[in-house]
Amino acid sequence: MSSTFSLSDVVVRFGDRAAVDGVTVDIPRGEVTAIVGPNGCGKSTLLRAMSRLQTTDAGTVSLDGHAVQSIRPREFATRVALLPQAPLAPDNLTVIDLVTRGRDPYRRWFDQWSRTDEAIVAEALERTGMTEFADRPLESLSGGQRQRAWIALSFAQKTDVLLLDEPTTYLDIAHQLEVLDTVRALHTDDGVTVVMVLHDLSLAARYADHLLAMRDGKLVAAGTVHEVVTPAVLRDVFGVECTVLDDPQSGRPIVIPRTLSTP
Amino acid sequence: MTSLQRTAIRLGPISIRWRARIVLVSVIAAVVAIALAVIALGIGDFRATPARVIEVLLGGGDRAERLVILNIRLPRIVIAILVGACLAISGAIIQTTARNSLASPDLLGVTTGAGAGAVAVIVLGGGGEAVGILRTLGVPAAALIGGFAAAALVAILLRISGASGLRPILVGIGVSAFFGGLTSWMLIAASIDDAERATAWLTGSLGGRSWPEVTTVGIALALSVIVLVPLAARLPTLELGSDVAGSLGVRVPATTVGLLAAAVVLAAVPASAVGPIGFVALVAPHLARLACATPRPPLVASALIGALLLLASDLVARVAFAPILLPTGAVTALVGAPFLVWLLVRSRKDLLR
Repeated sequence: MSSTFSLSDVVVRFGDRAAVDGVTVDIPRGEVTAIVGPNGCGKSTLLRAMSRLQTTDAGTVSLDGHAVQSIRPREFATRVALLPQAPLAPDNLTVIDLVTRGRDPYRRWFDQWSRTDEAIVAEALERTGMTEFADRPLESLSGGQRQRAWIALSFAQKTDVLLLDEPTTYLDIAHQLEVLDTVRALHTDDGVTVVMVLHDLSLAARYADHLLAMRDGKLVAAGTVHEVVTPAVLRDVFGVECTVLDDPQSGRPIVIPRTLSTP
Repeated sequence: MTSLQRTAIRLGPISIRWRARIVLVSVIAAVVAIALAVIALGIGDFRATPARVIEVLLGGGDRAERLVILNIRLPRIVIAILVGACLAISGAIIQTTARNSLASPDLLGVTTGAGAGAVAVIVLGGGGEAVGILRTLGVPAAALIGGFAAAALVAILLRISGASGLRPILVGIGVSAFFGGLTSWMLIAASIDDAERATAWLTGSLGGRSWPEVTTVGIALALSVIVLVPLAARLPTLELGSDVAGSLGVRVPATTVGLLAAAVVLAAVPASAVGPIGFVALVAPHLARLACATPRPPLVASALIGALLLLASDLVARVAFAPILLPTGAVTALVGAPFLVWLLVRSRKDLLR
């Protein structure tokens, strides 16, 4: 059974500014949810609040009914994995060394490399297509391969929730698809609940089942892709007039931006 | 999948991952250090062949040989090994935790802070009368307080300014200058005798140290290792950045504070025993990292290379201009300063962000 988040009236302030301003929403269990919105709308902060990395100033974030801040860090790390935006690896770190760290929440200091660890790391490499690159240093890989290595790290955590903050930043289109296809496959095969922040609306519409649209720290719309990707919502969230078509192949909405909305 | 299977030793719930290259580097460093120690024990006004030294160490030799080798030279050799190991571990931890290859206790001002603390006791505590207790307890304790004060100051300033690139070094220069000024002021205010004693200590020399200092440093090293064994297992994860480490279940602030506290102890207590010895904490971890081809300096290999480095520097200090003895700190600075310049030149692209 997959886990899920429930947010109630969540507020996160940076100084005087509320980055997240009273968000209440349930994240659907076992689905892929994308948080979209313009830069600075609070979407990454909301994700960080779910991952425990950001403390909230008001409201609660709970995982299966328990406030996330009350769950012990190690136990939390066996249930929720977070991949931050554009993580930096030290020089000379090989893919396998990176992915091995994903077993950390399960390990004591005297137990560095059990047979289970070995099997799960091998599986993580396999599932992300990184087996052949296991011994390569991260800096020698393409952007897409590198990001897949980080996803393999999260996979090795064996959590049933995966949080991704802008997993496609700095990647060109082929690598964006490569990364999101990998995420989608993990979701389909293991039933992992995925929540990711994406600033690219067409990628979000293509890969997510569920969308949360934010603006100025507030949740503007939440629902299925078809419910959220509408000209009215896009006008509210991005301030852009759009035409929304259906992709005949995938049945997913395609957004064609026309002009800036007049306020 | 070769790298997956061959490198683990498993025994019930215990499993240890090891790398052939790190083990090899560590063994070589240990063997060379032991050989160098034996040679160093035989060098000086009173010369002895390595074979003779080993015989004396194993309980043989006449009274004169035993006096010179065991009572006069051995403490100096042992303290070189211990201090070298302490400084190298301290440097390796600070570099890894700060994710900055230029971070080390001496460049960050921790050593100068420890120096100011130690000088305060020597000068203000009237060290003349109470030399025994003050030297074994008072000076290390004061050095610890000074070291922690400097580390806290650096931490606060870095929190304000940000800790990337060259900032830690610049903040360290400022903190060093502050504690250095404090030390100078105390030396001026002190009586001539105390000032002279403090100045001799401040040059950083392994000469004239004996078993009490060895014990102090040994205890600091042993206690730190006990604390570090579980904490250091988190270093590779911490190195992925605080966000990733946090999401892997590491209590980042607590773990970082624990690691850095151990690093300050490992820098301050040796400084209290032998005075400030520069650059070993910076250079040894880099040599270990380069020799082992790892992303971070492995701690055991760093410690052994640090011990080797300080042994070699002290030997040079003793024999280079014999019968004039150089301060050991001067030799490590001669090797370390060019290394720092090389690091700065090589990493200037990363540092200018």
